[in-house]
Amino acid sequence: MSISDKIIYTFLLLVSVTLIGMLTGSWRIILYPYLVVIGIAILAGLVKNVKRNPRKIWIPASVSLAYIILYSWLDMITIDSPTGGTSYILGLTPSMAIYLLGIWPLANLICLLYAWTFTYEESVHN
Amino acid sequence: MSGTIITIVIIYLLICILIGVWATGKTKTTSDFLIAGKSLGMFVMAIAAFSSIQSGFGMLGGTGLTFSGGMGFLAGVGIAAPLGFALTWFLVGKRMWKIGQLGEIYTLGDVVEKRYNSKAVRGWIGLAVTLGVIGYLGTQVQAMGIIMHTVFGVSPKIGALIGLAILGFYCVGGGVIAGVYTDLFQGIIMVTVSVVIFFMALNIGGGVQNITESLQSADPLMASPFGTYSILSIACWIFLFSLGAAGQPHFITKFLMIKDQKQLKWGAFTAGFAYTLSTLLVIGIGLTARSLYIKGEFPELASPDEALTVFITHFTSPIIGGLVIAGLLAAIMSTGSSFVTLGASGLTRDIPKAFNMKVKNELLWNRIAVVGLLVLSTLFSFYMDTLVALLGVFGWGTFASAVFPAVVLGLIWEKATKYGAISSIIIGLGLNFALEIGGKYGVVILPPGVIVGAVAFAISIIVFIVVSLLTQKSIVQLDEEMLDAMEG
Repeated sequence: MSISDKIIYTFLLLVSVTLIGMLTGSWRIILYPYLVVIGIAILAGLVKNVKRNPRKIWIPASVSLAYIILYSWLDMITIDSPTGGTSYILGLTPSMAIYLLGIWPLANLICLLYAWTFTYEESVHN
Repeated sequence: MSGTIITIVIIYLLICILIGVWATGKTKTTSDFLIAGKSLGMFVMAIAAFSSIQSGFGMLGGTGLTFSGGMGFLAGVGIAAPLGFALTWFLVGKRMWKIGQLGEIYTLGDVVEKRYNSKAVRGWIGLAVTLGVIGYLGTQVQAMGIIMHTVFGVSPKIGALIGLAILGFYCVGGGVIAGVYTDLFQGIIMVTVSVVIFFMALNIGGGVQNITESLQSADPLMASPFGTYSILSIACWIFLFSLGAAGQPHFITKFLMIKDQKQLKWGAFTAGFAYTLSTLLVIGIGLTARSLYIKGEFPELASPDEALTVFITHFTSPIIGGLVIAGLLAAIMSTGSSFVTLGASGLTRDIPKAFNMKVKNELLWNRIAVVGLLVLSTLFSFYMDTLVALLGVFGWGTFASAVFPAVVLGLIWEKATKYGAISSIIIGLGLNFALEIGGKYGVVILPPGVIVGAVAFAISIIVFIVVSLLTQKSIVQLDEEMLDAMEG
């Protein structure tokens, strides 16, 4: 089975689980599989790199892992209170701080990751 | 509205007209009109991509939704969008650019015909794009009317006509070249204004902690990242607005416009970061206005959508107010210009070619189509308000579910077939319409909070893969160049 087949079948499985989450009204069954889909999408973009050097799989894997850690953390601290506690982090409630200082900037870091992988690919070609 | 604000808005509109005049002189061929002659550098392309995604709804409506319900809308849409830029660059950036080098590839219809060797797929993509464009344009017409009414005091209809005349002027003459360079100018305004107003708003609100405490005192949910919104909706939005970004035709066709592959490198970060900065306006004004309202220091609003304009007229100087209004117009017009050329390409290239018809003098017909689309979307927005609202609301989901499987997955997966592509486009279009209209008339089959577009998007992906697997006999033999492009 080719790597693009594996990507598509994993994609199919995870999106199917996400759909089940939507039909059953469970946000966790939508969100958590989707966090893995993010890594799969990045893997699809790096397929050439990963074929050449399978260890590069750490790039998409670490993105999914970082999202899973941040959302799980947010999930845990907001079980009893939507703000995640009574303390303040830079003037924000703990839950807001995880979102605005962790989850939001991570998206921009992934954009930077694209520039970094592009630079790496260029250096290999040269 | 103060004279200063009116002057700033008039200067902004004049600059758009001047860019249009300059671009008209540079537009000589269909390639210039539809893909800027493949001449764009990284910065112009990335800012144009960001500007076309950040619409008037995102800034004006987003501020209103943040004012009324806290961060939930942003947690789902605003924060998913920068991730969408990253995923789109990874998924289709190089693939689209490489396919653009394989001949006269100007539109998504050209891309799918090349990929599947099928005119039917071209026709269906052209139809999906044209339908979405009419809806999206209609909502931009309505938004433009409201802003012009606020600034100049004319009726919303007259305001919309003034704005459209200017939009039409630069799009008819300069096509995509005018679109992307006005997008560049408009994008810079949006980002600058957002950053300035964000810090001003925090200052007016008494600092971050003061705002947080005020929100928390009224309702702890308002100081949480999900606000008063359903977490189910937010999860659906994250899925739809980040992954679905790669299915937005006004965004991904911009990869066909850049001059060389190296221009891709910093594009994702430039576009994603610009979008992030433009969101600061929504957070800053939305939450500050709410905290002031809780403390009794903000006027009563007839509608949450007024939060932004009331904030700038009551709490900022006319110069800042004028720049914010210009930023809002920029968000509306940049999205509108992307759509109008996209719709024209669907009407004059994709749909006729699907029926083996070749349009002579394509450049002229593209210009005529731009005028036609502007007139049509104006008539729709004036006389078929409900239809426009319906088309506009589900526009993103329709594009995601109709375009993402056929184009994005089709460019990754060799086993994709034309039947998979056609099925997913039809299912994507049909489900979005059916579920949205059903919901409007009380036929609700999804759990409360689930977003229709997200369901249609997930189902269209599944249909695409399953139907492709069931129709493997119809796989087309791809040549080496195509396989190389698909590898990324």
